[in-house]
Amino acid sequence: MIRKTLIPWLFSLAGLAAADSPDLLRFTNGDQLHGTFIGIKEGPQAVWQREDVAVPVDFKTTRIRHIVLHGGRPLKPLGSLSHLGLVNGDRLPGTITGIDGKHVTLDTTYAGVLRIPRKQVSMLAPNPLGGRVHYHGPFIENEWKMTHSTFPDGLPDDVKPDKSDKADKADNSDKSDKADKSDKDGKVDKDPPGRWFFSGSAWYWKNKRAGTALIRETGMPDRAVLRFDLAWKNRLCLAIGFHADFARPKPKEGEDNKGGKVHGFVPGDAGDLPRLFGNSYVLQIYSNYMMLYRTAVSEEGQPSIEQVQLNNNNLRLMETGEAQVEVRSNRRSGAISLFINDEFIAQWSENDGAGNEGAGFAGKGAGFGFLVQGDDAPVRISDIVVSEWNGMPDSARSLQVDDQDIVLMANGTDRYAGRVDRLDEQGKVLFEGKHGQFHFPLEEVAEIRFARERLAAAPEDPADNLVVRFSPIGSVSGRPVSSDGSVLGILSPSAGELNLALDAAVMLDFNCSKQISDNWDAEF
Amino acid sequence: MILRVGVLWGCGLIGPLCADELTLDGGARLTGTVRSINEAGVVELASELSPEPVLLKRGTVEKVEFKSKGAAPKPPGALVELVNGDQLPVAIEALDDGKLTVVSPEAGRLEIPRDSLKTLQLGVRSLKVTYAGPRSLDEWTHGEGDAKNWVFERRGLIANGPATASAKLTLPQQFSLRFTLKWQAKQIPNFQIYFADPLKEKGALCDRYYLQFGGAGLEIKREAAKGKRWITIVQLGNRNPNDFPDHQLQVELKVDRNRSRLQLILNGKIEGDYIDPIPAVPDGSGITLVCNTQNGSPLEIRDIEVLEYDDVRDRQYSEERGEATLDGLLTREDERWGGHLREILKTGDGQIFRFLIQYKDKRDDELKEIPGAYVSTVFFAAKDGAKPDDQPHPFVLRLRGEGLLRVTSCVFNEETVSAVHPLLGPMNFRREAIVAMERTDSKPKPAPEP
Repeated sequence: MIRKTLIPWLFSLAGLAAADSPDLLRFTNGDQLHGTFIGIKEGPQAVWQREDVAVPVDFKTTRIRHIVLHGGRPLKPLGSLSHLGLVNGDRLPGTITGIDGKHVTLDTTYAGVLRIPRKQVSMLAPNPLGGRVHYHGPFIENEWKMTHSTFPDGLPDDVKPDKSDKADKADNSDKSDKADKSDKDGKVDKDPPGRWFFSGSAWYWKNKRAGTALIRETGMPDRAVLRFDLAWKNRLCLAIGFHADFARPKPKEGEDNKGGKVHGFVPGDAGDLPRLFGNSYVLQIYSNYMMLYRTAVSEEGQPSIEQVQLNNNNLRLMETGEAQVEVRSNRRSGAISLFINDEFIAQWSENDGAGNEGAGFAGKGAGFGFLVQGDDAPVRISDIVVSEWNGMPDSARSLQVDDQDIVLMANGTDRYAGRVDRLDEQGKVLFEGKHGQFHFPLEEVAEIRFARERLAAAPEDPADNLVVRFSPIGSVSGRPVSSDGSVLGILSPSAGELNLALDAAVMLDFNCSKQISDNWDAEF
Repeated sequence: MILRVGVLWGCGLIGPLCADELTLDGGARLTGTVRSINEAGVVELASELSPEPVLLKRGTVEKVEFKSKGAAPKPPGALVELVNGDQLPVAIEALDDGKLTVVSPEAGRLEIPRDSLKTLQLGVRSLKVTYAGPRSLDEWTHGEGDAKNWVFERRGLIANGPATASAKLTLPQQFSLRFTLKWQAKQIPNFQIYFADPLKEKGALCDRYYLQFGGAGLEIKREAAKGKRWITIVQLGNRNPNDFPDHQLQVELKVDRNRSRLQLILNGKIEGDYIDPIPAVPDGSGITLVCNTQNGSPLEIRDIEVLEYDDVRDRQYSEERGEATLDGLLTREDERWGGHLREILKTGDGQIFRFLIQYKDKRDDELKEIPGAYVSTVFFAAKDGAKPDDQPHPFVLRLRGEGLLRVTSCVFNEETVSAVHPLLGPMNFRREAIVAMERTDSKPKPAPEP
């Protein structure tokens, strides 16, 4: 399995970088301090160490928004994506070693063996991504590249990010000022392109001016699922390139970035898409509609773009919100489909005809990327997974029953409804189905979703609730009890008192709002 | 899928055809009674236009739609799909490792090699009709409808001027609404059909859908009680009245209010699947018909049907096939098992499917039995190294009950049809089983990738 070899390698790199990175404390009023988190004491208060203060400083946790540990990189990342979900939304990483009528047992590297009341467990995910994972992240910033039509090889380091004040100024400038900035095509911008920010395990776009793509040049197999969590403020306008080869068009005569001229980006303009993604498919998602384009760069270096027809382009997304987006594409059959929040949205069919396998498919590469296409349209992209098409528990989503446990198999298609009895000594899930008893090898189970009607009600978060976020997956919430900086005692309403080793943690979230618009800030 | 729906229309569900109808090269048409099609491909047509039967040379007839003889019989309960995409309605007798034994009401007992099987769908039944009409003008005068310009005719309402009619019907959460629109030659019609309509007073804000057909084409809109009042769900500017030389259009709307989905089918062909973009799904059960026409240019809406719409079959059929080397079994409750369907047995309690659930380690495999009544769909494993069918199939036979077979030859006589199928070999059908025959000069497309 690629997953088993790839992920430890990624995580070991992350760990090396994390050891050198300071912690960052952000307050609710926007203040921030670099330094070292050295513990939590009664109050509760967070204890903070800096070289420029004589003694550690205590801060009220009620005034802290979050503490980012080691620059958002874990000292020792978790080696597996296996986890369980609690009724309060927590996701506890670990290996499932026992299930019986009353408890689920989870072996963790951060808190030892946990026995959690079964009615508090809403979901088990021993193999949450099913099949072969080609990419999961983002965990490492420099695995990604930022490109702009003026800088197709990547933004140079000396191009400073677009500052809001500059952007505001540009926005407020009068027409004559804008005219000064225009070249013969009316698309020249003196401001440098904006940058995406990497934070925690997410990429953020919060520049006022659009135009910079965030790309990965490899990772998509021929039959691929690209899935990610998307959060946005204001009106969503995001382009997603997939099966991209990032072929570069031939520059127009006199078109270069000498003299600091940057090719301007017109919000919503699809014309730059082939320049950014080359031979690719690009899906534009707006709050209430979507478009799929074929982008191409000919052998002569001429870029072109063509819309793929779809009768109904409607979408139903809110202004400011979050969603899980899943794009499936099959280069061989030409099938492309879009799911949002597990719901089928649209399907396109390319490669018409026999003997045409792959030939009519515009996406010629294995890369993918993102581009915000509107001004002042912040976006967060996280939990990006690229896997084989059949590696997802997708069709299983058709089972929607409250009174039965659902087992989704790792092959992405098979699923069963009934009641999970226990995990036996051979590592098999004993399952009572309508048509008999089944014995599912746990290593072939992607997810188990327990019957909703047998679950406990989700507890209210305590006033001083703290969420510990782990990398690459997981979050544990509860009332902080104590910490020496390396271990955190927490009282979980679902799992009881836990002592969490913070090696795999990347963030302590003190004022975690369920409202996504309150919950993101990339600047650290 | 398109073929399947086409057959429904052709089966006489909408209305019996009065005679066999031949479409000839270049779009010419002839009606009459096809007496035979011989081995040489010559079509013998008895027609009122000629005292002697007309003999049409091989290759001149593109398509024959046969007149229906009475209502279609009850479907036999299962639909077999072959690896080349052909479909045959059958009753299942047994399955073993080598073959599936079935009984076709049209072609008798058949043994189908397992290697030729792609999909088996069970529990195939006729959709329950909750409304068929109109039966009178009275039932369409709910609320503020204006009856003065309507004339009722058998299963039809004719508007001789601006007219509105409403009826409160039984609309399930998932329903299929069918109707036929008719207009006069050289007339630009203007129809509006509101559905899932709460039938509120005129001008009141409400949640409902409507289909609009006129000179600008066809459009489905969503009317909303909150927010933007009208939102276009689909606009087909290329479906305007001039595209329908018969001056009529058969419309089917499949509405899934549980999932906010609509499907539009025009003259038996799927136009597309659409999403209702507004969260508050219309929950009304009314239908409102609006004809905007000047006096003297009648517009007609007829053969209105509301049927239960169960999308499980379509949904399961369109699922990813998954691992191609394994069979897949889907239950009525939407479970899916992967492995090998060993056999189908007949027992005193009905059919039993014996299925080996396969895991990575063969020692973990589990043999299960499931009553046939709980089985909905079976996907058969693809044969290793199977070559695509590249043989020419000059004829397509459409059978009652969603059947479709591409055959290398066929001969019609008074009572029977003889054909040779590339996978099933020589077959004999009862003549009335054939809904239509089409000639195809091109090779058929291969079946989609599993």
